[in-house]
Amino acid sequence: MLISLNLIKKYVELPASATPEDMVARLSACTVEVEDFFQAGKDLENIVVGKVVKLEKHPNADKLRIARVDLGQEYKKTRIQENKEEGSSNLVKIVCGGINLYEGMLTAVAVPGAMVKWHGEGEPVKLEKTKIRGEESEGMICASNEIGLLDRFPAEELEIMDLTALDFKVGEPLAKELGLDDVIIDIDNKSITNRPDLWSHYGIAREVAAIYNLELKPLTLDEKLEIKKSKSKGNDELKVNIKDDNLCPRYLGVMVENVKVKESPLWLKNILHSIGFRPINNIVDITNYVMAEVGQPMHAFDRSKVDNIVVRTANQGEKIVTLDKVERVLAPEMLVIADSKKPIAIAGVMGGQNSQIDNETKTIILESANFEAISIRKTSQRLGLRTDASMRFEKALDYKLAEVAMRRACELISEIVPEAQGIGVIIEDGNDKKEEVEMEVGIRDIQMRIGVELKKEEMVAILKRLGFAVKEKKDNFLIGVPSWRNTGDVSIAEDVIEEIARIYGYDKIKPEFPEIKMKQWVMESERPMFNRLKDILSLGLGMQETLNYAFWPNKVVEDWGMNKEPELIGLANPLSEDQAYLRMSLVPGLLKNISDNSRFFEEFKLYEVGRVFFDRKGKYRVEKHSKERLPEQPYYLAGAVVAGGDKGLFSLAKGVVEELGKEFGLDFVAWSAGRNPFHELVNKIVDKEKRLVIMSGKEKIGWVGEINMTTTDYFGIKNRRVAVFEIDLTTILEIKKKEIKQYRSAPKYPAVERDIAIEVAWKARWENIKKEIEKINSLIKEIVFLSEYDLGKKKSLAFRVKYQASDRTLKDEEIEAVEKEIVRLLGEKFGAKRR
Amino acid sequence: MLQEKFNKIKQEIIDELKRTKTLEQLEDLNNKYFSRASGELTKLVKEIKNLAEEERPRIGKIANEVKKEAEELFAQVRSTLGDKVQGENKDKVFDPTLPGKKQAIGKLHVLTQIRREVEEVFLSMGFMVVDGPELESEWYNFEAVNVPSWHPARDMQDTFYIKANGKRQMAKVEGGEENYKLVMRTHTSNVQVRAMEKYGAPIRCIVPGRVFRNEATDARHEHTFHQVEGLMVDKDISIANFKAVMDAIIKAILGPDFKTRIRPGFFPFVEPGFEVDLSCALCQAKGCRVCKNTGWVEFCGAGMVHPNVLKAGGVDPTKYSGFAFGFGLERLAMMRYGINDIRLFESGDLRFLGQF
Repeated sequence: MLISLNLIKKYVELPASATPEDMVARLSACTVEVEDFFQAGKDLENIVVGKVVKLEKHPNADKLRIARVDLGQEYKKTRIQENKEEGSSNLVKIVCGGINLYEGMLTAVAVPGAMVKWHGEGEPVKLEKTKIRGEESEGMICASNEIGLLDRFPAEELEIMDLTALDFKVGEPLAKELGLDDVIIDIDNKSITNRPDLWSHYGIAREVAAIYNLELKPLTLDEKLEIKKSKSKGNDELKVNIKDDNLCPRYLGVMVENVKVKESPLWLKNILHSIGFRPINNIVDITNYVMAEVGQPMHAFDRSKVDNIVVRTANQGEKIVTLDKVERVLAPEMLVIADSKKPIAIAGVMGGQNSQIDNETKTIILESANFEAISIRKTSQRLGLRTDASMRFEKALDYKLAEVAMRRACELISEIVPEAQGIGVIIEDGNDKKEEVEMEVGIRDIQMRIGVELKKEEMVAILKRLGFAVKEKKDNFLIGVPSWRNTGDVSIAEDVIEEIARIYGYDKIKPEFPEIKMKQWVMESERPMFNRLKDILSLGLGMQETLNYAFWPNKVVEDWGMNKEPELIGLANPLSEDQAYLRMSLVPGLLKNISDNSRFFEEFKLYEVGRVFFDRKGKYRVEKHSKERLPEQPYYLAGAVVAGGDKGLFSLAKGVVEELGKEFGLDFVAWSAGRNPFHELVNKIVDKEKRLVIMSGKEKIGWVGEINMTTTDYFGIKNRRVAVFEIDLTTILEIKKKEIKQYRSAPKYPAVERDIAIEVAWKARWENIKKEIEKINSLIKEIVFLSEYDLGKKKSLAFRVKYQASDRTLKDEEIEAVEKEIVRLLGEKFGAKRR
Repeated sequence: MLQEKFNKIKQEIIDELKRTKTLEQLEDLNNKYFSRASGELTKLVKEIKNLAEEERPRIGKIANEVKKEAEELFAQVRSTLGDKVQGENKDKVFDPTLPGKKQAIGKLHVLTQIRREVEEVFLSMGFMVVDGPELESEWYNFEAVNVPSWHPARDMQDTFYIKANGKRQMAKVEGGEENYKLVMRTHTSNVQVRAMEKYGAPIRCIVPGRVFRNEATDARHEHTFHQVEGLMVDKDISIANFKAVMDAIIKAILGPDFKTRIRPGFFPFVEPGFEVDLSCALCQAKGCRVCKNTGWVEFCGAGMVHPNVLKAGGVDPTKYSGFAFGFGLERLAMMRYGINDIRLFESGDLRFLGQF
């Protein structure tokens, strides 16, 4: 919202110390968020009002003339100083091609340094002294489109600005004469969503007065207006009838006759321009000005197109063409202004074309009403139509404001449209009765909550400056809330505390640490585990942590047939197809990362820890007392190792899981038929041989496998192989919550290591071989796989056996005996031969 | 007998050393005689313990002499051979300026790093670190934190809603027809009420986590980002307390030179509400483009916990008061490292992630 400082100054007399910078700083510190502030006429610098004194022919050009222009005494002085000339002429020589030039004309003159758009086109450029067709030109007589004023001064081609009728003072800056020597303050709308009273200049002026402790001047209102209840009978008089007084507590109408709809006076157009409104005509401009000034949206209907005023909800399917020329289909909960036959406006949102005022309009009906906020908000949302009016109404407006605005508007009409007649009566339906709010707030509570021993008198003074009524009752204040804050905005003690604290000044509150009692502290169990896990993966195993979106694109879901997954969760309102679903696995995200990075890196290792989502009952409740649970959303860990060619990636990925297994107790089992860990996607993307299921105790909690070619191709991963693991961390945590490692002392007697290589059939699995060996003798402490290689029909397996006893150093003979038994048993069970 | 063996072995060593031409041969020889398990000299020394007791001191002495002599001879030869090798290699100079061997080290995501720093600071001040769901009910995300369905504040939150599904009918009242919708949480404030329900008052906790907004992305905006919510509820907690705690935390995370200030701000879950500004790091609060010449940059939203929120959490607002705040981890990281595009955090780009 744009605020004009000049308009604020109408209501508050500011001291010299209240510079725009200071005011913006203090408004930010006490009231609202100021986005920006700027000089209104800044782009009109070095453009002054000049008088064309003499016109001469240009010796070298038919279409150009030489104008001798008076720019006033000030300009003459600076010119003499700059040029160090004596007795320089009052008149400045300017070459000009304007077709409407005449001697005695007042016009806009740009002098060197001004920013102008040549012929109204392109970016503004800095004007310099120049020669045009051999003649010196010391400036430029401007057309309105050359200095950004076309909308205020419409002009034909080659016409320069004629200001003669406006009686501007020669030599004065044009910005000042246009009323543009103003500072515009841009207030962040979001910071006033809770303050309907601040959607106006008068509201901001009230804050400024409170902050600087100044007097707020009253609005100039038409006090003579008489309020009459609408009668149901009689012919001439306007009739107003509210059918739904919940949605419209009060409606005021004033009929104004003998109106001539035309352009507004310049001052009004200028101020509207400055604060971001497009001037339309005198009547509409007055309603907009009143809205900007006091915060009450108003509307004007053409009396001849409307028989009377009915405020009612719309009929199902009823239609109206709004002022923006769009046909809107209404729903029964929407409030409309209608006459006896048709809707003529969507209440509080936008007027209808069928009742719009135009140049033929003679009599108008002015509307100023109070509408229920939520209803306006819903209507505006459903229609996708947000207007300056609806933005204000949906914040809940002061119930007394409708009348203030009407009196203000009528005052302005008398001033601006003097020929208008018949103003005198407000026709009213409904009333402005609302329960007044008086709150009892403990004085001590205020001091405690702010943390400052504020004096009673100071608190009272602040509240009074803001319009609150304050009485003392023992240790409490009795606080009467003014109507403009009694909109749901100030209703509890905390609201009052805020008023006092912010005007007192948050910066004046001395920081002070709380004194508190200690209490049992709880470590939620994810944190240490995730930290440990990530340290192992990143710092220990050299993997890079990444983060991916929690969403799955529609395309991936469809291409992989995931839309058939019963537990897949979709978004109702995704921004784009890329966020259509919630992820059920972290792996597709990693595969995308791999595809993106493989242009730059040959080999790398990635992992991610994050939540995945399944449409089944999870652990979080929907609400404390509800039996319903939110969908399950466990934390998963997924990791990927990437390299060019077959570099034993499965083994590498499995190695990572084994390292984690030492920490979190993981095992592997063979991939079994049917539904495997998590979901079908995994079955589709993993190589049929190079895969295992990861176990924690008896729970399947993950998988490790090499990604098949179809999948790497799909994700655009070129010349790389990828192996991946994925683990459900939330389930591990539940299983492993209490397990703590137990220390074992280092063995006293030395171990002996012996290597064995065997020749064995391909189908013999290491897992089984190892199990058999382990059973032989308790002296066998560890069996370490060394290598496997291809012997054609058979394979060679080499491993190292570690022998150790807890009570003695082993003798060679003992070891040899066990070794013999190993070879014998492997021969018997697997047909293996020692090599 | 043993004495002779010692003398013999001494002569053998002398002879063999004469034939030794390289350091490798010398090392083999060293093993042959001195190896702890199978060295020939070692074995001889072990035999001493089999002698008669009166013999042992004398032979022991001889053994020591032989061993000492042999070691000296070895040292001489080693030194000679070493010099020779050095002579041969005197032009082959070792270059210590070559880079060290490349180590494969992985990195934690920059947000994990900064999140840990933040957690450390809060943990040290007695705050718990609490977690909550990312897919949340409207109740905890909005209603419980004083944002009823009609509230204009829902304007500020462009929310991702979960598609309705027969299984997901979450009746507001048992048997009632009105259902809670499910949303992707728009802030970590959803855990405020959950934490109060779980741990009661007084409570001090932070909630770091992922949040979602249904908005178009650009260099400054992301639909997915990370927030740290903070909540402190105790007896007589004041605005002055909040200022002290916030300032201490900022100084601990960012450095002692940083200053904070609070201004009015509007958030439905707090009353009064604050905007917390940080002194601009770029210009040392002198005023620059980043801080729009104010010397301050917006850092987080905060305020005194609204009594409705305390009530929703089962905490009596007449007995307890508190403050809450929420700030973005990305913003912190962007400020510290001069990162100019928020989308980098979830890009998975190793050229970005590898830098931290």
